[in-house]
Amino acid sequence: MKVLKAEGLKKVYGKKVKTVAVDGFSYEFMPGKSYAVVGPSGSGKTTLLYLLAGIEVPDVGRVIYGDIALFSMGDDGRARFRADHFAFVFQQFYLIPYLSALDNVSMGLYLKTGKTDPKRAREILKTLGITDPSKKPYEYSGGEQQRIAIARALITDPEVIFADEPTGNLDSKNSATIFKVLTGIAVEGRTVIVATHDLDLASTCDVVLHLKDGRLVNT
Amino acid sequence: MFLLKVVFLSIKHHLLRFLLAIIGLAISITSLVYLMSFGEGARSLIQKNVRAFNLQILVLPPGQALSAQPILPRQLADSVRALGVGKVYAVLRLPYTGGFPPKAVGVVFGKDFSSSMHFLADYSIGKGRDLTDSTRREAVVGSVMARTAGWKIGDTVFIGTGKYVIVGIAKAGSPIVDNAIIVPLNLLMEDMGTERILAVAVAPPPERSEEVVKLLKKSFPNYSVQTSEDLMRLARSFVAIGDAIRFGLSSIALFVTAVFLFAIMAITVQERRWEFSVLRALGATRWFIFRLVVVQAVAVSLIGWAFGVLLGWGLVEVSGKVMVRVFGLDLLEMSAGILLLSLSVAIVVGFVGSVLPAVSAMRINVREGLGR
Repeated sequence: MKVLKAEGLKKVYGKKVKTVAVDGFSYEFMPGKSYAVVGPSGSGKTTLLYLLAGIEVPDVGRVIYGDIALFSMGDDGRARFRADHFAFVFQQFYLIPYLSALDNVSMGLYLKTGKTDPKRAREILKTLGITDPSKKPYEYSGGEQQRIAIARALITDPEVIFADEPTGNLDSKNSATIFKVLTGIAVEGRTVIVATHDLDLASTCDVVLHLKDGRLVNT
Repeated sequence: MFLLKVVFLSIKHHLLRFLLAIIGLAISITSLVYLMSFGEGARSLIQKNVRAFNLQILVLPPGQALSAQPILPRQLADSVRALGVGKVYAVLRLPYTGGFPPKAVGVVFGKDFSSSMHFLADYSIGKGRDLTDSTRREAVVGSVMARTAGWKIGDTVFIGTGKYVIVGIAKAGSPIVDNAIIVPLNLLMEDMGTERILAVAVAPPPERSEEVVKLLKKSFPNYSVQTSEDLMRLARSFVAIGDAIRFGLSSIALFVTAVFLFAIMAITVQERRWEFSVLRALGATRWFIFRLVVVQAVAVSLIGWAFGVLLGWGLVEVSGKVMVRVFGLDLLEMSAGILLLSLSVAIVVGFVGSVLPAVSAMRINVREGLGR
């Protein structure tokens, strides 16, 4: 069981006008738990997720997963590391429009292993309530599209799942379903970190982290 | 395989845009295939023509590789024959254009009755009979000449100041025989008002070839002695120059297509920034993104290549048939070499047209690409 540790993360954007997105964030994310990162718009939730996933490079600080410091690796090294250990779910679903639901899910595994496993992809989709995976993303509802995106994340059997406002484009019923799925994933031993505005849904997670101006204000 | 599936589904998704690139490539490849088939046809024709003659060695005027004007004395053939070098034939030919507007285009050959061989290798009589007497004004015509000019046995052919009665039609064989008119050599010289010939052809026994070449060069130092290999080499070098010029012309169209493909790929990459960013966030390496863009462009090129080759091939076949009908010559020919050349060119165009957009795609900042 690996711990995802952030140590004094700081990220500043802009050259002339500087905006501090994350300011001295330190925390340890434990496996088997779900975390909600909440805060108003511009509080640095998305930046924090990108830093923890190794997508963005911090100006100061480091991220350690197990005993590996993410930023000791190069860009492609971190990409491979992400494919092997992490997964991402986005607010806008970001499903590839010309691929079927099945192929979108398969893409997740292909990036990790260079192979696909349609049978396993179908099973995961079915578990998430998608029984006909042959359709293109636009043929599904918003809730279904987000469940396909979650299936794309799950097929790689990730240890940490990052979800950036996963319910931002969904109605309350679908939002509740998605949160139930995500918190359920954590029960299986994975670490789930969700950035959200919705305090009600955030409260269903094991831990709620409050960000303000890029700083962790309380848990 | 999954990568290729993704690439082809993406092409299908942006079909209209890629269709323009495919059409551009197809046209460029068609022109490449068509123009290069001229060289291939010419090479093949030269080979067939050299094989169509019963010769291994030609004695020609000094300093000349291929003779155009009859300037050698007729007696040279007798002098060569006297060396005992094998079968010897005095060569005289002239171009023939019959009718107005011209209906039949071919070559008139003089038959050397003093030689024991026929100058044309595939020559045999299909209808009527062969020439039997060097003093009779008779002619044998090739099957294509007979068909295009509408000649039949008993008709009269006018060559220069002379007229000949057709006594035979040669059996269809090589393009040279099919487009030939054969008349007695001495009468042809008389009609042309010349005492001279173009060349002396020698067919030595195969085992004596090298020895005969040396003997001829020693015996006739003032003349040029060429073997059929020398002629082939020379002709091929002319064709190669033509190939280079034709390839240069095709390259202009291909360059424009590469620029066009570059523009399309650059727009596509710009539009798909979010898609590449998502893939990067999910764990795709920069190299994977580079490969995705380049493979897509090469796939578009290959589709264009396939259409271009089919179109070019069809054009070569149709034009070839028209050329045979009009000129009696098949100057166009497809070959595996042309297919491979055009395939390589298509791949290079795909790569060149996509490498910069691919580099730009692999450098996309994920956060910016996702608009966050």
